[in-house]
Amino acid sequence: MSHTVPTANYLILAAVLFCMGMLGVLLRRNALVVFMCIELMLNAANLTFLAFARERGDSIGHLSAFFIIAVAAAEAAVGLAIVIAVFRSRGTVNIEEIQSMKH
Amino acid sequence: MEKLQLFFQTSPVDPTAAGQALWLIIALPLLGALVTGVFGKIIGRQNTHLVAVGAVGGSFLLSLLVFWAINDFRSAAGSPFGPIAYAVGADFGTWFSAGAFKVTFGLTADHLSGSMLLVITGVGFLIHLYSTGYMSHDAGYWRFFSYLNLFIAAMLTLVLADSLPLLFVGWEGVGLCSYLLIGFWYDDAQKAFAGRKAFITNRIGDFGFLIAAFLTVLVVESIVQLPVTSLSRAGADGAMVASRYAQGVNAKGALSMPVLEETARILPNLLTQDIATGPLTGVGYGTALTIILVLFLLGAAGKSAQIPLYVWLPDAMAGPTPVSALIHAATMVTSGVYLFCRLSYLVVLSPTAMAVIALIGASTALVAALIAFTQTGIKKVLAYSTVSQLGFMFLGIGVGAFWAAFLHVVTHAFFKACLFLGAGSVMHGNGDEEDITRLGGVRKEMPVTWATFLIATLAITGIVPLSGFFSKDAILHAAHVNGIAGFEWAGHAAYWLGVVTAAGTSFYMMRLYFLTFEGPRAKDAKVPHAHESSPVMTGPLVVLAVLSVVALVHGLPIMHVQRGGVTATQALMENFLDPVFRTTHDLVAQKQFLVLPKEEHGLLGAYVQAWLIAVVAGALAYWVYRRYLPVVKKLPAALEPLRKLSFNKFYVDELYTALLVRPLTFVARAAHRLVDAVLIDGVMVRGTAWVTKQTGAVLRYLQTGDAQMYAAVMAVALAGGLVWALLRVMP
Amino acid sequence: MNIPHLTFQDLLPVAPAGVLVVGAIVLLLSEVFLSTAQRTYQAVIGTLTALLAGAVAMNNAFEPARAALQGYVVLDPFSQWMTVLVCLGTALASLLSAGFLNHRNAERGEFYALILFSAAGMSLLAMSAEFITLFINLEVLSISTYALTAFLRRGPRPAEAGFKYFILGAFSASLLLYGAALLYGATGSTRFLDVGLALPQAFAQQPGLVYAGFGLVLAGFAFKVAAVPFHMWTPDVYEGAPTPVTALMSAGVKAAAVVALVRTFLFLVKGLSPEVPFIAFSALALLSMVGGNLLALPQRNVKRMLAYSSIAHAGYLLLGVAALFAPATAKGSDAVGLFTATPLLGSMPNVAASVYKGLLFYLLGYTVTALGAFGTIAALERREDETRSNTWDLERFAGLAQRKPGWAAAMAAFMLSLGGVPPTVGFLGKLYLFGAAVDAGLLGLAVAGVLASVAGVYVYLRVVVYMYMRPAPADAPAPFRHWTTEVALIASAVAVVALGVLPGPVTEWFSRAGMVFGS
Repeated sequence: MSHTVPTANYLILAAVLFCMGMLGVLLRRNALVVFMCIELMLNAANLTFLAFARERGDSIGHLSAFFIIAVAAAEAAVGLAIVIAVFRSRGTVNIEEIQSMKH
Repeated sequence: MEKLQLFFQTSPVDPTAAGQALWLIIALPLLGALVTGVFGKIIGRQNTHLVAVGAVGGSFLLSLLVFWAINDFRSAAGSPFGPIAYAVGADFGTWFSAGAFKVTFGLTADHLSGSMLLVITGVGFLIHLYSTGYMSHDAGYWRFFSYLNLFIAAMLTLVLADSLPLLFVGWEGVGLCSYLLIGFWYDDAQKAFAGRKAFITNRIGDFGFLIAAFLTVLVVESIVQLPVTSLSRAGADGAMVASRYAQGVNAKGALSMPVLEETARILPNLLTQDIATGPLTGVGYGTALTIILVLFLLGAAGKSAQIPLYVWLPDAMAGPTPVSALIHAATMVTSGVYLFCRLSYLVVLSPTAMAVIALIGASTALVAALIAFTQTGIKKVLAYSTVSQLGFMFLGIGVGAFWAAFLHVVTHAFFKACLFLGAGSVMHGNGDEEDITRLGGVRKEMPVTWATFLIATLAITGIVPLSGFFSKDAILHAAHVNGIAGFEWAGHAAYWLGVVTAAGTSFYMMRLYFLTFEGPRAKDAKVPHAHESSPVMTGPLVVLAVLSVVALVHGLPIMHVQRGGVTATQALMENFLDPVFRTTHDLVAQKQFLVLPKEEHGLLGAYVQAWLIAVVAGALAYWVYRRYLPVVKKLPAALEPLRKLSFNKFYVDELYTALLVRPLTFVARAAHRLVDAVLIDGVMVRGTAWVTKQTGAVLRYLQTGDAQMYAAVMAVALAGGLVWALLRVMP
Repeated sequence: MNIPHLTFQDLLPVAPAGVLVVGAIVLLLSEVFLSTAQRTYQAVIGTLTALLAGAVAMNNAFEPARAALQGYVVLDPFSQWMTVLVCLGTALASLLSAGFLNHRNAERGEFYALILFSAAGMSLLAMSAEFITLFINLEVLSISTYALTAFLRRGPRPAEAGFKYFILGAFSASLLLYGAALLYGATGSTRFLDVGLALPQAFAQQPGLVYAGFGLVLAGFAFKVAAVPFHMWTPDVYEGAPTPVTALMSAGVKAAAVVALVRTFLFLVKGLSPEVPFIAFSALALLSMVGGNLLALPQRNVKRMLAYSSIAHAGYLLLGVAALFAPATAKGSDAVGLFTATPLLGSMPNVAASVYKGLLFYLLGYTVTALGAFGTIAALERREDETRSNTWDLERFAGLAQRKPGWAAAMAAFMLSLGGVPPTVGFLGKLYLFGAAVDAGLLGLAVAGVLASVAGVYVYLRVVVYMYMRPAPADAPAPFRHWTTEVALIASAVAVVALGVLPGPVTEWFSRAGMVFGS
């Protein structure tokens, strides 16, 4: 293929995704959105693995992506359950209101 | 006679076995503390008494056996530098090791620690017995006996330890128990404060102890690194000394007593050299030794209530009276003296340290005696008298009369315990009245207490045939005739301070006695008639009174020894402790830092002089308090400011407050203004702690509870770290 | 592609985790098939499983260090001893949970199964020698603890704690993962052995990439270890989680994370200029020691105070780690500073062995002490006060010595051990760690640590003072009685004192040669 996209572009995209995810975690107030932003960060890492694996042509990076997706799914299940528990006890998922323990 | 000697020199148990069993002496009271502390409430008062008294009693019997064993001619404790005669001991393996530094679990009983064993468990047993009566109405009895047993265990660890770290465990243990027992009635704020004061003062001392121990390790490690050629000691060549020393440090650890003793034997030829390796590089060995000893003195001053750290002991009388008798008179406060007797071989290598110790001791003795003149609390007078007597002991250490100082430890333990218990008995029978101006005439109503108190008073004032005379006079005699090389003036000054203090002792003790027991009963007495205490309380009094008479045997110059062809006369205690101080004597002979008198002085003149001082001062007290004051009612106006000065303890507490506590408080309060006004109590003593705490209190408000803020902090920290790392590599 | 040929020898290192997982499955099944009202047997199964796994790990701990499963995990005494510690902590935690959950009518097999899963995750995390393995095991451990934290769903606090822990944990895990991806890109491998080999060249070519990867991975670990400034979740999560879970988190998770951190960075520092990792660890250690102790000072809430204290203890552990990464060459007469290594004797002795011994002994001491301390707190909690604000106030401990002398004595032992007062295990642990740090020449840092811990002693002694010197309030709760709680507390108290007096045999085990694979 003559029109392959250079690896650097993938990496930059991944970095941008990662930073967007991170900013989302830091700034968004809705717990579910924060949660999605974390998934975004994980997928940025995934994309980085895949980009490097494609450049080097080895299988480790590809395999890693599968494992990460599986783990992220497990994490999502528990995470959503916790968010539901929070919603049940407080009736909201706004992070600003989940601050009863401090100092 | 020879048969009798043989009997006492053949112990019924094998000395080696006695050494192996030393841990039992500590374990018994420890077990007692555990049982009374955990189950005391369940098993009831009687059983608690039984366990506590039984544990100490058992420990006493074991101590007797051990004492017998160390007198055995076969006894010898193992050490990497050859067996130690007249000692038993065992090494129970490595306690811990960190890098090259190692501490073993070694216990040793020699003639010094053996005598201490008997004093601690013997007096401890009597005081436990007394306490069963004294604390018979207190609800916290099980706590009390648990602490008391724990104290005995800690004190025994202190004296049996054959390394400084293990000794420090006991040192801290007795401090902890003392703190717990002073504040025993913690619901009284003032008493709790007294506990805190003792705690903090002792921490300052402990700091000195720890730094000294740390420096000692550095010195020992630098000696290990020295080339063979620069090592030598009497009786061995360099290579042998070096290899044995390295082995010893390896086997027993740098802070074990055998290694320290060997260090003292090596040091004389190194004193003028500089340390070549380690952090102390460039410091002379002599200077390092002096610094170490002065720091140990700071530690001992904290524990044994010497200037400048003596202020806690009088306040410590807030605890129950048996505690004052056991911990703050007979045993714990003498541990500083014990420490210096243990390290006597190091002390005699530094004339500067000797002079400092002698002067600190003598001035403490005098200052405390002067304060005792005007105190009105019966226990306060005794407390200052304890400080004063401890000063005498340090004076003895400073002028190289280690045996005399130790003899004073022993005799003081007997008569001061007797005095304190007597005071407790007086208070017990007079509705807890402490003020001696509101007592009087107790003599008839409490005959046993009176008789024993009188005997102990005569003993402490130094009336001739009683034990206190011999020990105190031995110290003063040594101060008179021994010279500290280069510091002869210090020896003289200490001697004269000591003589004045001896007169003072007689005066304030007789004052205490006359005001309490003689004369008519005070008009404002709490109870019209005192009642004598129960036999369980007077019994120990009688035993202690007998002991404070009988202990005179130790001071009699009845032993004749051959020294270089000359027959010398020694006191019994001096002769008995000779194996302990053998290295010390050798070093004194080698370095001549302590100039001993060439010929024996006649003792008779000194005896008469001391006796006269005691009698005249006592008679003066009689005249003032029984003849003059009852008639005149008031001191002459010229003396009033002096009385006030003494009564207010020379304003030392106020001085410390003004110089140390106030500035700290000021700093704390300045910071306090910046923050919310939350905490003001407890600031007086802990200025710095308070500032630290406030810093924490500010920091905690960064903890907002907002998860995103937490994540932001992490992200910022990460970004900062990355930028820093990248700046390092990219120019 | 070749099919991996597995032998029994290869499976040896993961055997303890296998035992734990089997036990967890048994517990899950028991919840389905045996539904009795009395469920203490589940705690017993959990404890026995943990002890069995511990015994297997202890057997492994005497094997020579080697790589296993094609270099994805390693079998070395360091990780196996850590597994023993984790199993010990797990056993104690399940015993503590029995009474705690019973009191709240919340005894369920899932709880113990989750504890065992998380212990399996800890054990595997400590032996991981490859980034994806590391990530998976980290998540096994984390997901179980998220669920455990929020296990008592009724109260608002557990849910909030679980939520915070989850959000921040996932956040830090993705940092770690992204770092791993960058390092993979720089070196072309995820196996630590190969990464270590390729790093010097990669560093020469792309220092920025390597540093970014290094920093991100370090941040992920620092979160799990709870080092300042990655610590802020700790007090909130520790406070909200059920107390036995807090105990397990403070001891087990931290132990596993420290061991994994040491293992990972032993390989990752190759090729970097030695000062950077050293200063990074020193700074984390300093901030944690000082920050943890300072923050603990104003706390009246004992559970929160212990959370801050666990941060300080993470700092002491990181001090040991910093000693491990101290630059080997001393610059002669360097001035003593906070971030400089000035060996006392001019040349640095081999500190690695004493650091490993110190770390393991410290973790052992911290495990038994923290389990005991949190266990005592758990026993004083009342179900009714789940929503009150003063549940763990110091006042709860007032006069405990009169009401329950045995409990007070045990708690006093734990507090003294946390404060590092002899003759407890905490003192010796500190002594070993600080000793190793001084051997490595970290004088300034060690002194700062000692000063910080002196400030900390006040915090612990205050609890003792309340127990022994304050009268009990009228409405003081009596600790609930459950034999499992008592067994666990007695075992911890005895261990705290016994190990403090006789550390000999244990330190003998911990100071074996070849402790860590690849060091």
